[in-house]
Amino acid sequence: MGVKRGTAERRRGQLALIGVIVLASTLIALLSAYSLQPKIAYERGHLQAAQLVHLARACMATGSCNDAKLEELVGRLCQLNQTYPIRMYNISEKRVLNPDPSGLTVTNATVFRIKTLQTEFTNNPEEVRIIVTTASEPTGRRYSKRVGDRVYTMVEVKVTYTHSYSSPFFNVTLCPSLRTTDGVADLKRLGKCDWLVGAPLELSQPADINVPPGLGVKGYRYDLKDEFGIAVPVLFRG
Amino acid sequence: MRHLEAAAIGLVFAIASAYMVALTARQGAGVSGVGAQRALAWALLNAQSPENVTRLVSIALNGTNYEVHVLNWGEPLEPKLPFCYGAALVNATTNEVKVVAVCAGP
Repeated sequence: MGVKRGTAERRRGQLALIGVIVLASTLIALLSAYSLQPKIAYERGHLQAAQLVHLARACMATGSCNDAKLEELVGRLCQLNQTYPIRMYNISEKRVLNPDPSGLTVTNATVFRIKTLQTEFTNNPEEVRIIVTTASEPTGRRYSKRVGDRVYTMVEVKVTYTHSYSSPFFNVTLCPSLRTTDGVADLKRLGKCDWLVGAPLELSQPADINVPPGLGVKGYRYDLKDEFGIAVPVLFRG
Repeated sequence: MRHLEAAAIGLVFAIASAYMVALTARQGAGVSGVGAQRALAWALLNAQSPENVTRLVSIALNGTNYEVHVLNWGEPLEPKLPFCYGAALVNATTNEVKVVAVCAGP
């Protein structure tokens, strides 16, 4: 009698267990078939700042970058922003700062003021700043170089060339490579951003140089190009 | 009967494991999206041409499921993967514009 009751209880227990397992399997199978629709917050910041850096460089590469040209490029970007997933910030201000020749150093700068998420709380637009600096330092050495049937007087100049990009998302300094446009100049990389340039005097343009600052001195300017197509002015005295 | 129970429990365990793996893989998509954004930003900072961007993005996203599209102005973006970031490459001298889009997903 006792054995019979024990067997019946065990069977009920087993049936209950199988019922639980079947129910669990059904639920899990149903959940597996359900496709998730996750909410995605697109990360913004690095790419948008890099996009503005690229735009400023493209403007500088034209050789005559001014506020109007930059405005035109930003307008084109805003058009593309409506079609493609560029997710650009609202740009409240863009400025091209004219080359500031102080001595033998030339600085080109572009500044964008953007409205980021932080601006919503602080009411202060944040800045993306692109600064391109060329510092020339003549070594005093001159030498002759024959190219074809012409002989050039080469002026040796140590050049430090840097691109500095600052933004709320990154601060980067690049040392782009340089190239000559006429195949006459000599170029040797001394360090990351340091170059030894032999500039042909006959192919250089006369330029005013402020050395020391405030005192105009007649000098020369010879242009190289960087890897982004931006003119790199190498300055030296006559 | 015990064999049947063991088999049923094993089956439930296998289905649950497979479901968890699928769930984890799907949630990983968000991480890929963030990677794509930064990879494209880095490539853009070092970019001279769309080919250059494409090469740098493929270096940065090695091991991630992604696709790169290089489009002309007006050409529609038709990605297979869901999370896309785009950048415009402008040559202001020749007025040429290319759009590079990187899409990532599970």
